[in-house]
Amino acid sequence: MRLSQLELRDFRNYVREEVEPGPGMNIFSGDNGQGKSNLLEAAAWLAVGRSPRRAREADAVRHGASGFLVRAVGQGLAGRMVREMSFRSEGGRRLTQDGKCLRQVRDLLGGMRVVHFSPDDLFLVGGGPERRRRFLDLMIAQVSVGYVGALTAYHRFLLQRNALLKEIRQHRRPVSVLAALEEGMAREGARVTAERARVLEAAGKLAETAYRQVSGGREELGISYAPSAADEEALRVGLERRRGEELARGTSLVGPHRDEVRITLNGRPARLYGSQGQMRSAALSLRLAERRWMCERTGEEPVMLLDDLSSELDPGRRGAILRLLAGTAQVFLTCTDPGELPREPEEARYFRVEEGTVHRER
Amino acid sequence: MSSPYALPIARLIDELCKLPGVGPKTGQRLAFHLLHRRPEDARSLAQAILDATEQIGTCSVCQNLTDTDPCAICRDSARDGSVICVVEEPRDLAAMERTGEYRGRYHVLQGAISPMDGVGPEELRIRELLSRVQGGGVREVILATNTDVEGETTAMYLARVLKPFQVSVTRIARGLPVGGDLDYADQVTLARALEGRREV
Ligand SMILES: Nc1ncnc2c1ncn2[C@@H]1O[C@H](COP(=O)(O)OP(=O)(O)OP(=O)(O)O)[C@@H](O)[C@H]1O
Ligand SMILES: [Mg+2]
Ligand SMILES: [Zn+2]
Repeated sequence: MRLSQLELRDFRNYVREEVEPGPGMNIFSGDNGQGKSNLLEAAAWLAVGRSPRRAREADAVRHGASGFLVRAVGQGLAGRMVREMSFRSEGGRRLTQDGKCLRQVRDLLGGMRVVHFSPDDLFLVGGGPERRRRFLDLMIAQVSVGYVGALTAYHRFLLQRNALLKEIRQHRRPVSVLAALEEGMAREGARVTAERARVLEAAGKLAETAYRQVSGGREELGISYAPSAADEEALRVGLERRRGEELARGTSLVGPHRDEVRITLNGRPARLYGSQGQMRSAALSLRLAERRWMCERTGEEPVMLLDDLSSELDPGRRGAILRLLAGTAQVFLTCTDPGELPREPEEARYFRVEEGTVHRER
Repeated sequence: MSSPYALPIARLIDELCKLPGVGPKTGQRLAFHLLHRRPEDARSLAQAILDATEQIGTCSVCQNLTDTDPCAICRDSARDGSVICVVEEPRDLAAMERTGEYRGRYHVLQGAISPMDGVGPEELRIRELLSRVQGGGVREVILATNTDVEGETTAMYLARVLKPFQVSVTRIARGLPVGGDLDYADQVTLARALEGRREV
């Protein structure tokens, strides 16, 4: 996947700007607060239908404007495509690909694959387990429609079950409905867990390798999946066994929404013992693994959107990461000073970002 | 805020906006469309709405919407009364009929179990189904509720409460798209799903 054009209108601090990125490395530099992250946010949002910083559409409308438009022209395995996302304060959001409306998340995922890294990814390693689950979910969802189906169904089961637990507690419903609901829930939940475990098995290894290269072989990253219930039978039994406790608390306590991705550095939990730079390196390794895995699964490179790659990384690690990135993927990379990037990549395109405008340099 | 329209128009827009999926904008568009048609067209539409709401009731056997009781399908002696196909809504029954593959009888639940919406088994026509099965002569019950979360839960619930009876309980195959509504499935998919039903 390659973008040949990215257009922003009234998006964040951009009034109207058009960027023509090159097929390989694209470096966007500029002072703080000029619009570098906003540019990458727009591309990621367009790809997966959701802001990577979890913003609502209304927040992204340029102050004083009444809506925004983001448009990308890309070239993928399936040929040329044009994707557009528009939002009007009255009238809501509209996403189209080649003029056809994309109504559901599942119509949208996979048509334009990206990997987005940002400073916020520190929480991928140091934050709560939901961050790691979300990482896995979005990565799998971008290649598997079936997974989106199972995940959506599971979440719906979860909402229904929690509503039912409340009803039962208020004696408005017999317990017999619960058993019926849990049957489908265990099946979908087990599908989610199995797919996550299978994917993490492969992607975890890729991340471990990437980390070894980033750290110059001095540290070992360890990634493993710890499901709250290993399979359908275990999930069914677990749901049944903890019903009493769940009835008291009115919420479901077992299932994929409680699964955990364990990350260790030299055998110890990274969350507790990792330095900032180490956690950042681990997060980047996960993103590099995401790229490799997607590429292996689909035969196509996702677009790499790397926001503020270099903060907190020593020059050795920066260099190693850039070497890992070199190759066939299209990369968008932001930094405050391109001089801090080690060996300047040969065919890179350089852009200067200033107050919501982007100028090509050299 | 007072309406910019003359009272009869405002009232018409108001009424149209009460329909599902109709917002203020669509309401206005529909109202003006109606106003531009010939008076006899408007009268015929109004009469059709009145006739349908006044003459249509539920069939005391299958719970489908009907203008006679029992309904045409329940009265049709050529149909196999030993097989009952359970669906959520009248439109699902219509979809099943369009396949032309099915010659048994139906039961319309008028919904699916959805605790979030306060719908449990008591709010559906499940008691009526059980008494039909209890009444005898039924060999198979086909659960053809939707394949979404609510339809699946309803099917599993029915499988459980039908267990004590001497009937075979089958579920239509999941050839349907996940989370799919029956009435959106094309006829081939639906016919195949019916063919590939399994014991539950
Ligand atoms: N809806 C909006 N309307 C107008 N301006 C906005 C909007 N949302 C954000 N901004 C502005 O965009 C700017 C931030 O842009 P961005 O986050 O892309 O900066 P950056 O170039 O990545 O900076 P840094 O180097 O600090 O990461 C801020 O000045 C902010 O006020
Ligand atoms: Mg930034
Ligand atoms: Zn009938």
